Amino acid sequence: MKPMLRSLPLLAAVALNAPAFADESHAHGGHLGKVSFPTSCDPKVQPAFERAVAMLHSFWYSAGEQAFRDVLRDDPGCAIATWGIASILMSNPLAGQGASPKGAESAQAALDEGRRIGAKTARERDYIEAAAAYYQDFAKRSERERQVARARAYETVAQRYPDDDEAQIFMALYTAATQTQADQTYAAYLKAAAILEEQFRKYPDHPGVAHYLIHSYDAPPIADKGLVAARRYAGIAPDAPHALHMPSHIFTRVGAWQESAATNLRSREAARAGNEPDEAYHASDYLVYAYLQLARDAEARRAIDEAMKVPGISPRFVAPYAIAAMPARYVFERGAWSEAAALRPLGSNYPFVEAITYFARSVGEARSGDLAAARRDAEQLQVLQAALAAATTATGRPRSRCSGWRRRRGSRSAKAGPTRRSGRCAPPRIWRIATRSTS
Amino acid sequence: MRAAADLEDRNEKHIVTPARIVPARELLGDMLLELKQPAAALREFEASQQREPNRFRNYFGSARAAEMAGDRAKATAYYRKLLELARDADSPRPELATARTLAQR
Repeated sequence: MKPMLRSLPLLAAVALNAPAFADESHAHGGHLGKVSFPTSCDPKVQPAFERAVAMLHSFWYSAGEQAFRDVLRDDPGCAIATWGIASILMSNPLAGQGASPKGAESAQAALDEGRRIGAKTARERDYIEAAAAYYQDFAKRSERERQVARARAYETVAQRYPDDDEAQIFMALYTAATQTQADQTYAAYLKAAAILEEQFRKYPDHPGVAHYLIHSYDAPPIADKGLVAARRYAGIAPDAPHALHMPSHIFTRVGAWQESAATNLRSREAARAGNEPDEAYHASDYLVYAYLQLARDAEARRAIDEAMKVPGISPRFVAPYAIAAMPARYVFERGAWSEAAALRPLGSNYPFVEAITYFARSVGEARSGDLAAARRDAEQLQVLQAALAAATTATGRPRSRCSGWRRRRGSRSAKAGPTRRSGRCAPPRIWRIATRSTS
Repeated sequence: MRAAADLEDRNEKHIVTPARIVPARELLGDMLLELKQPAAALREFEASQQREPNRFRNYFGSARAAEMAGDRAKATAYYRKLLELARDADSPRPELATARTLAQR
């Protein structure tokens, strides 16, 4: 890790905000939004602590972890800082991949340290134990089980401290994180959204509230409810790469491509500057998708090329997904079927990432008449599907996409007799990685 | 293909991706167009707009399907939507040339 490099933008932000009121109870990283999280720590670290919580609320992993560690260094009695370290090491709580094994180890060490220090208030001890509920028996449990345990633990904290708005907000986040892709009543999302809407009225500049509202409305039938938060969040926390990207989750759902492109372009630049390479790839994938809807193909091409220059991606699936998806989208949206054959599989450990390339290639080959190649790639999809089934808890998967195109083309030349549906293939989509992470 | 589209509609995409690489229901629409079933294709394209709104390929597919089904007014409306969507296009996609010609009528 490069904590020095990573904290440079942060230091700049701190310096810029030096004149902020010392007695102000919210974080005055004015570029990260306003967070109020009272603690029993030395008042001298309180502003830095709240800034770190603001980073946590905007999933700014590298800067956030360092910020919490700096708080602990400056006040070794500030046990709640270990809760922050453990929380940020959970990575994106909604992504289904969770903490890396190494991150979990580091988080557990932090929590043990927090217990040893002994927080001065029961509330702070309860926060630490709520984070610990996620890491308990880490290697033995699926991410799904950890997510559910974490949501339950925070529900208890939120009930115990009904006047603690941060507890309500974190409870809402971790509840939203239990939403499954199969539940189209969006029960967990809407439960979270109800809490967050109330908080949004109280705290229009809170980074977590706006951020989690976007996540809680990130589904087609409810997406338009997220537009207010989407149009607000980037302005609340413009220094956080993820805050600049998140609004595009809603913009994409409602087809607001110009807005999506503009905010993802900013996010990519902030991610490069803020040392979040994965975030740069993620924003780029959304950016490319938006450009292609606008027939801005030259811009899309440039965005792919720019993304591919970003070094230092993690072993998580975020960047590999984007690296495989961007060129596949570039071929598909332009109907450039003959270009599909030139796509090269990434060779990642993620079957759903590899499937994107084989899917795009197979359909492209079928539609440009190369049935033999289409068949070969579709067979590869079957192999990947088996690998995926072995590694995930799937909720249902369409398998018949490519075979239809092959049958259609095949029937022209072969006057096909009865077609067998044997050439089934996995689609270019992704299911919750529930059992393990490879990083 | 229809089974794939139905299954896709009954399941949400993962947050890592802005959208499926291509909506299965659009592919079904493409396929029905190739099979010269434009009315059925139009139904699929329009259904796909519910979950995946304002997409370039959808508008073009919808326009072509309407055209082939003999609904010229609807075809023109979709060609116009496509031109509006791509008003800042920086590339000469053939779909846009077609749309420019047919939206004039």
